[in-house]
Amino acid sequence: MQEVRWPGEWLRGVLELCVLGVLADGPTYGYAIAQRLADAGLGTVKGGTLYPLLARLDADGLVQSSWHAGEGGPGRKYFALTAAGRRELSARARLWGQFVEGTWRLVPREEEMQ
Amino acid sequence: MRRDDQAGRKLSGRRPHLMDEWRDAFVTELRLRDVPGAQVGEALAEVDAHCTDSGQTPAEAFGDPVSYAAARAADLVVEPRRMPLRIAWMSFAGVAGALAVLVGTDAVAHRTQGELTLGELLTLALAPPLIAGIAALAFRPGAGRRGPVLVAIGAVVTMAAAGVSPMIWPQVVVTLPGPVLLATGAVLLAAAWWRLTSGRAFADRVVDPRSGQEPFPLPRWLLLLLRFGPPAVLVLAATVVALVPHTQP
Repeated sequence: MQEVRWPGEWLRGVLELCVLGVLADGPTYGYAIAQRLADAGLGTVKGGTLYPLLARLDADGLVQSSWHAGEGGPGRKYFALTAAGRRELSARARLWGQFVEGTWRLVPREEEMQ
Repeated sequence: MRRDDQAGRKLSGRRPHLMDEWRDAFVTELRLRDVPGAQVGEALAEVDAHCTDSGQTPAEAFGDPVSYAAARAADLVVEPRRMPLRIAWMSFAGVAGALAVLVGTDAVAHRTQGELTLGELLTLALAPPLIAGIAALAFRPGAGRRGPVLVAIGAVVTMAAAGVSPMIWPQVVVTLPGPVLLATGAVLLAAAWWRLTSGRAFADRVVDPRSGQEPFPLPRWLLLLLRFGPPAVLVLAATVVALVPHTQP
């Protein structure tokens, strides 16, 4: 997908939900999360943004982290959704659906703007 | 092959240096914000792991170390900042304890009463808040590396003032029995020493969660010096005080 520069406040609003969404597919580590976000077209999410967010999710009990030894490297910190994180994700996903539906009703389609 | 591998290898020649400077600034700033050692180690290991995976330098992936430390500290569970209070108490207990032990030793050794002068009491009252104030100023978040220099200058000025003030104000204000002074001094010194050795340098170390080892170990001689230097100096001074005969009438 081609790189789009999204307005910063959009990303701030949706990043947590997206990270929870990535983790719904199974436990993974920080750099892999950043790559998944980039692959989805969200652009490069810097470590300086990602890890404080993960730490916040960890402190809120939505994810759980643990270090696992890597093949060659000294190890990676894996993040996994907790049961509370799963509940939070499904609640927020439902809200997000309503939010997108609502905004889509207000925002004109591109062809209507011509 | 990962796209970044090549860049990573190209950088690896100078990366350790860049890495250390960045890590140093990051750890210092987290410490200044009272982040516990275990969490400092955790945040540092995250940076290392991310940079190993992405082939980026810490500055590329995380930006300015001081800003990132500020962002990271805001999300960590941090005890309220009590550093100035801690240092004021430690310097008071240390200065008062040393004074009481020395005057007490002098009194016991020469079978006289222990006498505290106005200058000594003024030093006792003023030195701790002064030291704590300098420390708070020097070690505030974002202060960078000027801290230790400021503290050293402050300590020298304070010590000089403490040495001079009893000569300016030699009037005896309080007279106490030697053993009472000795006992009080011993308790105060024990408290100060306990605070020192249970402090960060000794107890709350930065530990890498992956290896369980310290990324920045303090040299053993420095730990021994910090731990046993002050008591050794005091014992020496007390011995001198006890052996030197009174010349004053």
